Amino acid sequence: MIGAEDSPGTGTDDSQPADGGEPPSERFEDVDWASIDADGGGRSPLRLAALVAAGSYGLAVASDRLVAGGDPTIDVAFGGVAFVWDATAVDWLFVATLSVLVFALVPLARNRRLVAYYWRRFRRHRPAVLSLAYLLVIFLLGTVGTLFLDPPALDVAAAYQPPVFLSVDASIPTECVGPVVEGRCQGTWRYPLGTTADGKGLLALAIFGMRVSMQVGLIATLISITIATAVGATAAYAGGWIDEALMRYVDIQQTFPTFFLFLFLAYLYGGSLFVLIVIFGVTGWGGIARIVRSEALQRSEETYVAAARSAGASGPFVVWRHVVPNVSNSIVTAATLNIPVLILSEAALSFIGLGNVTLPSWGQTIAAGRGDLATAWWVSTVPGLFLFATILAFNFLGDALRDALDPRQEVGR
Amino acid sequence: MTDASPLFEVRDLTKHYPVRTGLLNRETGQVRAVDGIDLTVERGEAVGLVGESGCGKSTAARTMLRVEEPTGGTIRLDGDPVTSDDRSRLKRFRRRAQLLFQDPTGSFDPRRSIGDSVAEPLAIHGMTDRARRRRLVTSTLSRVGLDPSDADRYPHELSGGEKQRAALARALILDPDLLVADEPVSALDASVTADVLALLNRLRRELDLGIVLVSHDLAVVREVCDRVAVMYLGEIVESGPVESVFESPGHPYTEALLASIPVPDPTVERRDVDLVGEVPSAADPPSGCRFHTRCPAVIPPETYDLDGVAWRRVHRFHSRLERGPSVDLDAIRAYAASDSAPETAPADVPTHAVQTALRREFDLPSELGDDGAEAVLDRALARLAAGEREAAARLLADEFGTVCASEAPATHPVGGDDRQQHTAVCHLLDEE
Repeated sequence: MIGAEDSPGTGTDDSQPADGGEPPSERFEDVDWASIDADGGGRSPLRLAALVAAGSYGLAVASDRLVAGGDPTIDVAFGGVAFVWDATAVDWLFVATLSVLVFALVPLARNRRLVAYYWRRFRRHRPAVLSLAYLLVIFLLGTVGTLFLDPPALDVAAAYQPPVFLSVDASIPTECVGPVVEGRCQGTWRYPLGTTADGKGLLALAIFGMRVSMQVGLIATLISITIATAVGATAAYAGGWIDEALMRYVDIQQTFPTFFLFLFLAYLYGGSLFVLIVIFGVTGWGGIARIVRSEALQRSEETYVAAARSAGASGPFVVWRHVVPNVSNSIVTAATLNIPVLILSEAALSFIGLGNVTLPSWGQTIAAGRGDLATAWWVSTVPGLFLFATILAFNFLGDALRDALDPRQEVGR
Repeated sequence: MTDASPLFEVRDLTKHYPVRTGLLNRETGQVRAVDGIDLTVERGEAVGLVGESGCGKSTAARTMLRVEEPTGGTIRLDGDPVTSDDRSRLKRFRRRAQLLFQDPTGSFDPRRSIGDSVAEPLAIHGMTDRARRRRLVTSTLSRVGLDPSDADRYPHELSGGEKQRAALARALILDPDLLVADEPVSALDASVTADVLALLNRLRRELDLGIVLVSHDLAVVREVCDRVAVMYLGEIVESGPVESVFESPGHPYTEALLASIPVPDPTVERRDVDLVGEVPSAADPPSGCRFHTRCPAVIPPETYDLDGVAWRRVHRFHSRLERGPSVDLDAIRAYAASDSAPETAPADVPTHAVQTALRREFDLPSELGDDGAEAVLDRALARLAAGEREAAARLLADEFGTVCASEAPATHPVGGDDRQQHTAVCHLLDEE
C-alpha cells in the first residue's frame, strides 16, 4: 500500500461552527438509526406550511360557498374606506394558483447562488428584462390594483372621450369632458386613455382586462403544467405499459377539438370564464407532457437517480427531488410560451362573442370598439396594444428563459 | 474462516436481460450479463472483481445490491437473505450496503449543492432534523478530506477527485457495513487515483468496512484488495487471495490480464500472452468454457500432432466460422483474382487460389505440420470456398473438437493445500 495517510484535513475538524447549538463533531457512526426508524420521522416545516396553507384555503372556499353564499366574501371597512370583495370561482382558482407560485419560490430562495447564476445569464437579454418588468407591472395592476380600483362604470354622458393629449372632432363624443378647442374635443387626465361608447374609461378597462388575462394565462397554465409534469414524469419514470397508455391518451387528446368542447359547454352552461379556464387547463397539457416526458427519460438515466435509488429512495421521491427539478427548465419555458397562447385564445373567443360579455376582457373591449374604428379608433386600439405588448413580452421572456436555463449551455462551467 | 456467517454473501447470482425483437416485442433471447457468480465478503475485507469491459462486472455490482433486480440467486447480509418482498427490510439493507459510482460528475444532481446531495440518504432514511443532517454532512466531508464549506458548492464547482470524495461521503454517511465501488477511480487521473484509493483503504480500516471493488484495472485491485475474483462473460473464472492469484494465476485469462498490466521497467522480461478479438456477445456465449474462443492455452485434440501456434490459429478459424461475422466470399475471390493473372475474372479463380486467399484472410499457416490435420483443413477450406460455411464448421468441429469447447470446466483448487481458497475454472487443471 502506498501513500496511506496523505489526504488533507483527515479526522474530525471541530473548528467549523455549526448552525445548531451543538458542536459539529457528531459522526455518522454515532447516529442511532433504530430510534430514527422507531420515530417514523416528523414533517419538515415547509411541508407543514404547505399543509396549513392548503387546509386554510379549503376552509375559506367552503365558508365562501356554504356560509357566505351570495354575500361578499370580505366586507370590511377601516376608517371610511370599505373593502368589499365577493370572490368568484375564478378568483378562488387564482388564489390557489398564486399560493402555489409562492411555494414554488421556496426552492429558489434556498438555492440563492444558483438563482443568481441563472439571473446573470438571463440579464444578458435586454428585451427579456424589459418584458419581465412590464409583465410584473401588468401582473401587480391586474391582481392587487383591481382589488382597490372601482370597476369601470357606465356613463353615457362621457362616451367617446379621446385619450389625453389627443383630440377628436367635437361631434363624436356625446359631451366633451375636457375643453373644446377649435371645434375639437381634447382628451383629459380624467380618462387618460379615452372612453368607450358606454363611457367606460379605457384605462380602467385595460387594468381589469389585465386581471382577466392573468387569470386565464396563469391558472390554465398552472393546471396544464401540473398535469403535464405528473403525466410526463410518471410515463418516463415508470415506463412500460403505463408510459404507453398515458402517451397514447395524449395522442388522442391532442386530436380533440377543444374549440368545439368549449362551444358545447358554452351552450350548456353559458360561456363563463371559469369554464374557459378549466377547459384550457385540462385539455391543453398534451404538448407540455411530451416535452416533460422526453426530458425526464434522459434524466431518469442519470447516475444521480441511480445513486438515490441505491440509497433507498422511493420512485415518487426520485421523481420529485431529482427528475422534476431537472426538467423544470423545460417546464418553465413551455409554461411561459403557453401563457400568451391562452391569453390570445381568450381574447379571440371574447372577440367573436363566445366569452362572458359582462367581463371586461381585452378581447371583449376590442370587439366593442370594432364598429367605431373610423370615429373612435382608440377603443379597439388601446386594449389591442396591451394585448400585443403582453404576448410579445411573454414570448421574449420564454425565449430568454430557454437560453438561460438550457443545461446544454452549462457544460464547462 | 469462522463458522459465523460472513458479512456479505452472494450465491449463484444471475442477471439475464431479455432480448426483444419484432413488432410484437417477443422475447427472442437473453443476454446473460451475470450468469451464476458467488462472492463472499468478510467484515473489513476488500474483494476485487476484475474483468474486461463488457464482462458483466458492473451489472454484477448493481445486481448484488438489488439496485437492479437479479434474475436468480441469493444475497445475504449477516446471514439474512435480502429480498425485495419485505420493503422495510430492503430499506435497512439499503442503509447498510452502499454503492459508489464510476462517474463522479454524473452521480451528483447538478441543481443541488454537494451538502444537499450528501445529506440525501439521511433524509431518505427518515432523519428530518435539518440541522443534524448538516452537522453530519460537515463532519463526514472533513473525514473524506474535503472542506466543510464545500457543502455549499455545486457539482460543477468541484474537481473530479473532489466529487468522488463527496460521493464517498454520501456513501458513508449512513454508516454502512458494505461498500460496493464500481470503477471508483477509472474516471480520475493518476495522482488523484492514488489519493482516493488511500482514502478508501484508511476508511476501510477505520470503519471495518467490507468493500467490493469492481475494476478493470488490476493495479487498483492489487493496491486495495485482499481477495480478487476474475470475471469473464458473466462468470467468475478464478478467485483467491490477491497475492496468490497475482503470483500464480491458474486461469489463462487471468494470466492474459496480468500480462496486460504495464510494467515500468523495460528490462523486466514479460510473458507475451496474446489476447485477441473482443469479448463474445453475452446473448450467445460460447459452449463449454466461455473463454475457449480467445484462449491462448486452449487444449489441442489428441488425434493430431499440432504445434501450439498452428493449433490456436486453426481453433480461432473454427471459432470465427461458428460465431464470427459472415465470410464475404466475393471479396475474397476478387482479392484472389487481383493477385493472379490480371485477366482472370473473379468467378474463374481456381479453387486453390481462393483457398490460399482464405488462409491469408484467417491468418492460417500455409503448413500445419501434420498431414492428417492439413488434409482436414484443406477440405474445410474447400467447403468454405464453395460457400458451405456450416459444413466447413461441422467438419472442423468433428475433427478438431476440443474439450474446452464441448464441456464446461469444473472448479479446481490452484496451488498447494495451504491455498485452498484459490480456485480456478479451467480444463487445464483437470489432470491434476
